Amino acid sequence: MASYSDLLSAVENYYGSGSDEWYRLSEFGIDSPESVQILQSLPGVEVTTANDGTVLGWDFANAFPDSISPAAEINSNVQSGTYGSGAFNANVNGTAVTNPQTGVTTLSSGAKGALGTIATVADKIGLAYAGVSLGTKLGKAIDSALYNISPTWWDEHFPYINPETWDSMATTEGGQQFVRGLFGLQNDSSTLYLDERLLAQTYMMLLESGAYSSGESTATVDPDSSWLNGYPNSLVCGSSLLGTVMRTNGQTVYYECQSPSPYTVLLNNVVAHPRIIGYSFARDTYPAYKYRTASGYIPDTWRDAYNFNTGTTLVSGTPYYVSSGAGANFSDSIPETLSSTVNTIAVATYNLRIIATILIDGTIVTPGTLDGVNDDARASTYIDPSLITGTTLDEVLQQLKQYYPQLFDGAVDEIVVQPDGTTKTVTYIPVPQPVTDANGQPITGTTSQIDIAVTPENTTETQLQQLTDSITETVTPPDTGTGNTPVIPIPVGSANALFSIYNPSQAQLNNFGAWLWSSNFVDQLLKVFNDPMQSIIGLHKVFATPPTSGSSTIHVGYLDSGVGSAVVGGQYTSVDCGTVAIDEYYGNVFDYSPFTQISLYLPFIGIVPIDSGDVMRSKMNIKYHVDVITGACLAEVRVKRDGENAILYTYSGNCAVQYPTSSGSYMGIVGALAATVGTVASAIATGGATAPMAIGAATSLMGAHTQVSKSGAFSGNSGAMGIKKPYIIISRIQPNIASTAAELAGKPANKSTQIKECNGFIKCREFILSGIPATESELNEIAGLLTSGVYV
Amino acid sequence: MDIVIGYTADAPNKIDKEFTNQFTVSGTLRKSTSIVNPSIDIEIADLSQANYVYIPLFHRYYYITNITVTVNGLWQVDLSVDVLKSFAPFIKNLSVILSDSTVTGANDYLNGDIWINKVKQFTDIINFPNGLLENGEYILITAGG
Repeated sequence: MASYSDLLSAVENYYGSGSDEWYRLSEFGIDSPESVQILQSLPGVEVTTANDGTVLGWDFANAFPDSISPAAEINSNVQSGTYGSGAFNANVNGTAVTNPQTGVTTLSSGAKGALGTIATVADKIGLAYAGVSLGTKLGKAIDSALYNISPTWWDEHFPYINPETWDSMATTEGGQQFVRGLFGLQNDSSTLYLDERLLAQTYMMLLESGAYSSGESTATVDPDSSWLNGYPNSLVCGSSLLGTVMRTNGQTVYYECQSPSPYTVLLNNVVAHPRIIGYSFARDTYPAYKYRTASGYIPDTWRDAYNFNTGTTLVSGTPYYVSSGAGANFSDSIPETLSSTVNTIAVATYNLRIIATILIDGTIVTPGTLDGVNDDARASTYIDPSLITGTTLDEVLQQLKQYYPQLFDGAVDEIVVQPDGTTKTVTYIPVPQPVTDANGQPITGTTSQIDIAVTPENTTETQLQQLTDSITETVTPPDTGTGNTPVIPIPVGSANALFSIYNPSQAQLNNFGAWLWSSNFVDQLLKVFNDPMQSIIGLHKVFATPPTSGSSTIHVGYLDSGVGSAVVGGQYTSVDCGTVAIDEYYGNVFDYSPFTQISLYLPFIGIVPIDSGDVMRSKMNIKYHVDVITGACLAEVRVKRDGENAILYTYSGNCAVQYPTSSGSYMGIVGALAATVGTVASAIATGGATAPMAIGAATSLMGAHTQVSKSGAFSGNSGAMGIKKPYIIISRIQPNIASTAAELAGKPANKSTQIKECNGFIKCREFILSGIPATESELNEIAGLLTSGVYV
Repeated sequence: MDIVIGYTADAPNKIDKEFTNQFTVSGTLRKSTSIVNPSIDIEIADLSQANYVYIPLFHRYYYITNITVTVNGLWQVDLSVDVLKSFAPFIKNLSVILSDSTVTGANDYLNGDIWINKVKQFTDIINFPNGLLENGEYILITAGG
């Protein structure tokens, strides 16, 4: 993990100690426009920019030396943020975390010379992966059915819900859009964080697509409903209107108005309109409802009377008129049709409520649900769409924070310096991580994936890596190996009475050089050596941290230079480069030679081929043992697989860069380099890798890789210009197997069985045709058919 | 002698074939014929839909390889023995070593002609998390202890 001091060291190394750039950063911090330009020029610095040009984050990949301080030292640096327990605007300590898999270390820029907030690993997250993560956080389980609708459903919806803000959240690479995801906060390399705005975005997307619909029908009217002005308010129930509800029974749309009892129901200012296709009045009483409908339109459902008290619909009956008098319920003045002029109809009451209903020509909307998206029974938070009614991204986000603050627990702010010197704050929230289905599509996973309080099994990876994982399951249990190689003892001891070994810094070396060529030194040393430079045995740089045992002034012979330096306490040191897993990609023969070829790049050694059969399905560890005096290095390649844990490959090189201290030593260095070049040329001439394993005349050429030498000798001064971390190069072919090949031609087999135990197509290699009462010619034909293939 | 005439839609290299639309004709052999590749004249209305024959007397099934109408109105039917169907019970009891199989004994890690690939390749890189120092450490060796 890197610290702010490492950032300064990186600048120092690139621009030079004492450079203007170094002073500017150390004094003014990294929030000025000039500082931004300085950082952008650092090797290994990557900037993630949104589609609208907003800088989303800075990734300081490979910008720091390997001598990185542990976390404890980082916290002692000046921090501008403190870790908060609140739901919003929680600033995380500025801790830089290196992803052990990608090796990427990220720091976000801050203000006033301090790391402001998050220091973590940033990655581009595909929209499908982000959508499923965020949907799970909203309480929705997402399965493969969504992808049956469209394999690119998320890519089709995300950018278009809020296009005015989308470009500030998304970044485009290779024609595909991604969002920025963070992980590695507080040394937690397994929790993914996404922009909180994406949560609101996802909710709006799911809402519009019907994911929050119950599928029940609702009624609406045409957008131009001006004709309804005055309707049904004109149904005045006495002096006040109890309430008008627009309903649908799935077949018709109607307004209902219930009068408080006992009042006279009037039709005031009701004008006939083509959209009014019926009306009725019903008396709220049991058992009989008396009602009247407009002639010319009597749908069966219209006949049903609705009891507001019990909520039941009575059996439909026949409309009839009632005359006035005892038991009268309606006035005969109720017209059968409404005139085109204003109507005023008085309806006598009978101490009971009157229900007035107008049937209108409305529209019934039955929204569908969204296939593949359902409420997740294991979620702890569900969104009530009646609470989240905002129509803009900001409104929805604020409502989510208001009603569901728990969704924003653990949120972190990242303050990002923009090229113009301003800062932009982006808030990230933790989200669950999905698994992928058989087609590599992200889907909501198991409970452990949903509950973000439990560390998910998977760390965030690119979609390609997830797809790789989903198809690397080994179908057939492999044969296993066992055994360990002996431990290699590192030799100890040195002849430190005859020479002294120091580990000076650059400044100390400069001071020593100044003393070396002072007149005082030369006069003194000439009494001992003919050539003063005979006192300097050697000066080189070694690319491993030497073991030191305290410090001392540099002595030359019996002379004390007075220049301090660390003293090298041991001759040998080791560097553990770490362990990586090499998994099968296809789960079949294609993962092995000659289809898959694996090479290994080793610093100061070069690119060497290794047998894919040795390392497939294994965990590979590389360790360098370095002799700091000579620079000789030995790279051990350890393979752990099944019961086996062995060093299968060792390579030697030299990781020292020699510096000339005299004309003689300089010529020696140059001569050695010239000899190395000659070795490279001969290596190319003879080729490097082994020939492909022959598998049959027809396919050996098809499956073989072209054998080329990928590097030559790579030690010392040449190696210092190369990459310092090992990596594995895996070259794979692309299969092209017909979909029906197994059915029509069969897969390779080597099994002893009886034919009656088999199914499908078989070819037989060996058999004895005994006990068959056939002629010789028939037996020959049987043999030919069994060899060429038969169906059982 | 009975001759069962019918139809099979199964592939010629399928051991147990389904024999459908069977009908039987009876008669007497009037000339010598091979039992492996017999040629028989049959008086029958229509043979155009048939392709398969079973002759119980010969204990064999046959494909109809050719049908010729003779001058006297008979159908000359040339047959070729189907060894798989004729000896299916014996063949199924054979013990064999399979070289290729759809299901039984199929192994994805054995070489075979089925593994065809394009000439195109792709490359994956797996980085190790650590390495040697990016900037080295000076080592100064001077004479004297």
